[in-house]
Amino acid sequence: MAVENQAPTSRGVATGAAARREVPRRSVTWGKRTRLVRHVLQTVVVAYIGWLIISRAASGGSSAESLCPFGGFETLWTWITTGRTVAHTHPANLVLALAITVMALSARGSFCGWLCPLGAIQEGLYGVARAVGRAIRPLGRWQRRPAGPGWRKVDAVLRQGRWVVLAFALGGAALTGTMVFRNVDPWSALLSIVEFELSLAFVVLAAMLVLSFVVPRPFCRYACPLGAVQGLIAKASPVAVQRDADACLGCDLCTRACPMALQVDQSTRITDAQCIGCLECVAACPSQQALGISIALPWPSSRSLGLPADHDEELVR
Amino acid sequence: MTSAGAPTPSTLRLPARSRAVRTSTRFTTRRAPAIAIPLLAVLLGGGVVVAAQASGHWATTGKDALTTTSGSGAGAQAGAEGSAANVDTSAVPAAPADVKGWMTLRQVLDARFAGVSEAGLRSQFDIPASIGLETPLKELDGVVSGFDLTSLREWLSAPG
Repeated sequence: MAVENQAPTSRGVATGAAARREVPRRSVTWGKRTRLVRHVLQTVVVAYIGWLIISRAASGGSSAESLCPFGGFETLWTWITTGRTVAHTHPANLVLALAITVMALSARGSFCGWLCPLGAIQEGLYGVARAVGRAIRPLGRWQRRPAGPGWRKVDAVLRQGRWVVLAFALGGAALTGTMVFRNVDPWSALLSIVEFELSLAFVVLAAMLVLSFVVPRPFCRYACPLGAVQGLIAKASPVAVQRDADACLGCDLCTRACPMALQVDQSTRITDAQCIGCLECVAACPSQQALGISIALPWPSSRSLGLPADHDEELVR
Repeated sequence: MTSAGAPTPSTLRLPARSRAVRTSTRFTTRRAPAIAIPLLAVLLGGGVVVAAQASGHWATTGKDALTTTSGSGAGAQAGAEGSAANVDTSAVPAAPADVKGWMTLRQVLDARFAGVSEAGLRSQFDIPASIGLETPLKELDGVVSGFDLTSLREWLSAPG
């Protein structure tokens, strides 16, 4: 790290009134490339699911529900205790649940951020709405409202909804042997959108799509049980986005870029269960070394042993 | 920060007094290439699916599982599209819990569950005679009021 006048302390607070530091700037093209790769992957998955829905409607092939990873978690208890899967789930769901577990352990919520078609659709709608919101003032006002302090309290309460939905879905499936969540599952509604039939699941899907115009990823934030499961598994992951105050401008661009509205600029390691690993925060950061992915090694730093902070020459390499 | 037309400097000048919230972690951490980690995770997840398909644990329909147990014994099918043509349509469910939506009324009756007869089945769920035995169960769902797979399985377990 290039240092001007005075070396920073390991806590990132420059001492002395004249202290100024220079840090490497992140290339703008890095952020663009990362977003491009992510959006291409999301588009491919959405296109594949779209093709499955259409081909199923045309030829009566197998349902794309067998490609739902959460179905694997729903059927897990029944499969362990009876060797069977609950209705509408198959061994493929269990395999996908295992794949999600591996992904969550290796890169937290990367499935949500990089592959989930439902998340991609919500993100796409919000992107369109933001572009439109610049021209239509009322929509723009609604989009800015979720960033206000009053909304944050409501938002914090609503975020607990994921755990309620998760308990309902897993508990209901284990107790009744059926997918109770399917009746309100927007994913299930989306898969049968060609054979449209007004149901609670369609109402949830419609509400989710409408909300996506003003709140980024509303279903992911407030109701997605798969995201909740991943968040729990990711607690065991050694990988996380990490901020280094030594190179941080304190500009909060990272927090504003986060689609899940996590307070990245207030954290050291983003271990929140809602992190979807999309790297939007990293892409938005102008400082090359302030934000990045780091792996926590299985031994504590000297700081946790009570040694002075300066003992660590560079905590985050 | 830069005047128009001037090249973007390769460094950022931080304020004399940093506004950044302090950071500290209990663990020793090591940087990893940011974009490589999610892509690696995607590859690992894909690897699990490919491994499951290669080892015969990938099945996207109940037909696959039934083919495995009552068919050629060649192991689970590689996928729904590939297996549809190989399904043993004469296969019958071994237990009420194995009854699937794609099965026909005839397959359910051929399973010979205790106390189950065609007349009993039709009267229990008010299935009209115009609906043939070759009708898949999932087509009855919505056509015959009060019929659904869960109710059918429960009745097959304890007809009476």
